[in-house]
Amino acid sequence: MQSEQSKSKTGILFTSPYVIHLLVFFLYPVGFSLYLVVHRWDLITDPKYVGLRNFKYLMSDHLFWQALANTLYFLAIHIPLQIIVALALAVALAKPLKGRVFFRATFFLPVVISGAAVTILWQRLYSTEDGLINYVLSLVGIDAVPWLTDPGIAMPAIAIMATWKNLGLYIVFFLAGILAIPQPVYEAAKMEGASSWDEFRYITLPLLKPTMLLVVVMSTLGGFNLFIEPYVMTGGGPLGSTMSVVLYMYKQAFSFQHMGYAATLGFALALIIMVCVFTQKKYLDSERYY
Amino acid sequence: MSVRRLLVYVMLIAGAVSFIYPFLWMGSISLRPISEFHDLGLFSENYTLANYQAVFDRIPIGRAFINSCFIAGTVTCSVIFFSSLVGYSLAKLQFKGQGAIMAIVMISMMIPGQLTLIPLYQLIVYLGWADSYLGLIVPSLMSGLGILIFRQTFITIPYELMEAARMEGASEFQILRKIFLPLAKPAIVTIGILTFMGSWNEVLWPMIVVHEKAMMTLPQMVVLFTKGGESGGQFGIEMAANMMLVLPIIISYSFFQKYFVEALASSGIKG
Amino acid sequence: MRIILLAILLLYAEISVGAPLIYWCATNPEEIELAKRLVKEWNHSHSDTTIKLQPVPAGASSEEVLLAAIVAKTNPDIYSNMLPAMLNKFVKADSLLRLDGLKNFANETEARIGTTILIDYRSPDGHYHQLPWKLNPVMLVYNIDLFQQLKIKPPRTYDEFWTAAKKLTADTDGNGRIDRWAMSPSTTVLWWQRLYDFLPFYMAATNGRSLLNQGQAAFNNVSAIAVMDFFQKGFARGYFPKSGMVSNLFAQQKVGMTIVGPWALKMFERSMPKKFNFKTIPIPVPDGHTGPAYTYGDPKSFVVFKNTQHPEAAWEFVKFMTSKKADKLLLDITGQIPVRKGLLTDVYYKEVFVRRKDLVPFASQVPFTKPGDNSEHIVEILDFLGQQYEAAAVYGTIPAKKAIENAANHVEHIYRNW
Repeated sequence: MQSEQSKSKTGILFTSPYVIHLLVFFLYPVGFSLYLVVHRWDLITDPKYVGLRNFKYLMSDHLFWQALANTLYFLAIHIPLQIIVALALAVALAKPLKGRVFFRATFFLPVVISGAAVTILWQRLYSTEDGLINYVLSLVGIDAVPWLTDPGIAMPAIAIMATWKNLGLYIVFFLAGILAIPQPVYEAAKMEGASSWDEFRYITLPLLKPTMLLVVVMSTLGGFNLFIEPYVMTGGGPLGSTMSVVLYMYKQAFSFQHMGYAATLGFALALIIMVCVFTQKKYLDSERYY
Repeated sequence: MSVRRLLVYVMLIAGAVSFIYPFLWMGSISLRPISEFHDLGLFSENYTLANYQAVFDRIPIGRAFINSCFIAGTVTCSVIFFSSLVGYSLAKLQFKGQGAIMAIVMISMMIPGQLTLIPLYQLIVYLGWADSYLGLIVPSLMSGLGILIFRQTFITIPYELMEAARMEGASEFQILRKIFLPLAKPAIVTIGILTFMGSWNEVLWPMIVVHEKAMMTLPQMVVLFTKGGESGGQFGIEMAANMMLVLPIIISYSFFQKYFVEALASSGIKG
Repeated sequence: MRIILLAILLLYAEISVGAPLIYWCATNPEEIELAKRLVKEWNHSHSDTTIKLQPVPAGASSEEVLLAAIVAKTNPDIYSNMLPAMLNKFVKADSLLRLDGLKNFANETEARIGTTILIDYRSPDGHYHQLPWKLNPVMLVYNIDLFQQLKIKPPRTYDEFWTAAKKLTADTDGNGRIDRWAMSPSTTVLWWQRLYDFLPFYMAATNGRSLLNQGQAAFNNVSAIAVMDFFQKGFARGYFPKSGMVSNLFAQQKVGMTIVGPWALKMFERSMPKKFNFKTIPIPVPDGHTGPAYTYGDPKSFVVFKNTQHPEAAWEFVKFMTSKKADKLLLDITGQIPVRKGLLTDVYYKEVFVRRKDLVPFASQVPFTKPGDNSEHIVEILDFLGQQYEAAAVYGTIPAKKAIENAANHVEHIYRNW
């Protein structure tokens, strides 16, 4: 007969590897990052205490603020685009349709593929002279777009690619949300003479708020995590328009060896992300309707 | 069929084409001579494996593939194993500090990785694990999400099953292994797929920790190959390398598509 | 018992004495071949201090790889691909061995290099932590056949350059799009790229001045503005292609001129679809300029790391790698120019230059070639300069004067803050 004590011992035994791992590979780095943000360090010589100088530098570092603005620009395009296209396709796929599984599977394919591979492919698709995208546009009479060489268009180009890559995932989320709405609700509405559009606007949309929140939060996290896309596609250019904060942090750490400042950037970014997500949750997570 | 239905189909088919064609085209370019890189069609008279040969000649991509398999495989097994242990303990066992651990699991998932990236790199270097499997594997051995998923699954399993086994003298570990895990197959598959995919596709961390070619992971090597000079800007060869990166996932996906979708969908719901 | 102890001692002695010194060389095939040959010869006669050769591991740049190796304590004993510009970073980190304290440093360097050139390689603390090995003076290579066909004079000044550019830029196949340009400077912002476009032109315009002077920007002047303006004009007038897919345009005769060092010559010959002749001249200078046209030399030096177990042996190896014979092999196998005085007058090297006439202009440029600044912030400085270059020259969104001002101010900003 197992005693409570031995159950408890087992509990501690089972969880101790996790706790040890956590201490070493999570708590220690978090602590060390707080140490680093008040030091200057180039990896080879000893760290030097500098108090709040890194933060002061951050405040006036316009390259950081530009990177942040770039990220917000990315989100401003990516999130609405993602929601509109994913929702539209989810609504289309929610109805019984031939080939539903095939479509869902096709849209989902890029989700599982590495972001690096997608970027390498799209870099070619975006080629101004002989890219597939400009070719298709030319078929409908649109002139060649300088996707990656125009400072105003480069970030939207990345946003479009990110939408394409994650579309399948968000379609699945929206589908789950839509299919969770009980049929009787729709039937009741139909009996009162609601049109399809009314159904969508007054039933589907409000009831999808939790899913909407999920999509927004995940897209936001993805946007703040942008690294491999600008790294491979544009190197942060042209004219710094696609420099993301993570890419900038990487540059500061590994091209310039400003370890303390890079840690400060990481700290600031983590703070911003948490504030953003918290705000989004507060704003979008209102009472449920059922 | 109504006009609306037709329009929906057109939209869906156009969408599907825009998702499939780029991959087909990439594959096609990788099988054609370098001079044909301008062509946007799929067909050619001169299919060749020369590009793939060139990739193998120029970089140790086979080694990178093995590295990725080994790393992703090890991490996945480790995450499943340890997450099940912790998930089980949190769901079914009573012990001191249980609440604290649960809280820490939640907190660890809320703090963005950017905060710990640089310090973690320094730690790896300090331990002498740069350019080694240890540096690539050990930081990823545990997963908060894995713990949550297992815990959620295990909570639904009735206590009676445990009591019965305990009365027969089974240890906790045996209970976990013989009773709970078999009942948690969906959770295992989900965590397995999520972890394997995440580890396989990871590029930033290997780029920071590994500089020696023999230790690079597959995506890292392909990125370096296409971005650095070794591909010589020869597009067909770059696409061949990219295909090698993408094919393993595409092949697994075509067999296990349902599981992939479920895994990722549930990760979002829980996250 | 005593026998075991003795055996252990001998084994230990064997291991510490027999352990090879690790030497990292650059990864291009010619340098690897050169290194292999010389290392083999050394190992033949130095069985107690053998050298193990390893090409630098891959990475975004060999400097990053080297830094990572030093941090991880996996660095080599000897390294021959050290860029003098980066040297100070390693000096400040106290990773490099002081060479001027070692055996015969003064005599050897005087015989091979001479004090006027050697001074350019001195570290800010007055000592020497590098032995300059080779130079690749960056010069203007042009397509003689094309120039003769279009009746263009090889340009010595900016004015002559624009005349040539105008004639060269054309639509040769009549499809309405320009497909031949004057020159194709790079459009990337990678920090080291400026060493191959902006800096050579700046040095030519200023008789060899470099960008910094004791931690201050020394380039906020008319010459720098003239150089930035030169590139801006070229892109704005369409003489330089903006596309960015620039591989081998010169060999394909899609551009009439290119800025390269001697390393590129054999590559051109290998990749020419149709054979043509080319000639090398110094970098063009602003109109009204007096004095010889200097240039940047893409120098590489030997360094020895402080944590080596055998500093004297390492130094002997370095001297071996820069002996007269080794320098001759360097010329022969890689086509790169050793930092050695009197190359063109010394009878020992005559036959190499007879075989490789194309190297003569580069060798004559050596007295007018500078290694550039040595600063631990050089990467950040050139990176920012690159951003200004992108804005002013490639995209034309800011005037050349502003670009230079911004870059100069940023230098001060960097030194003040870091």
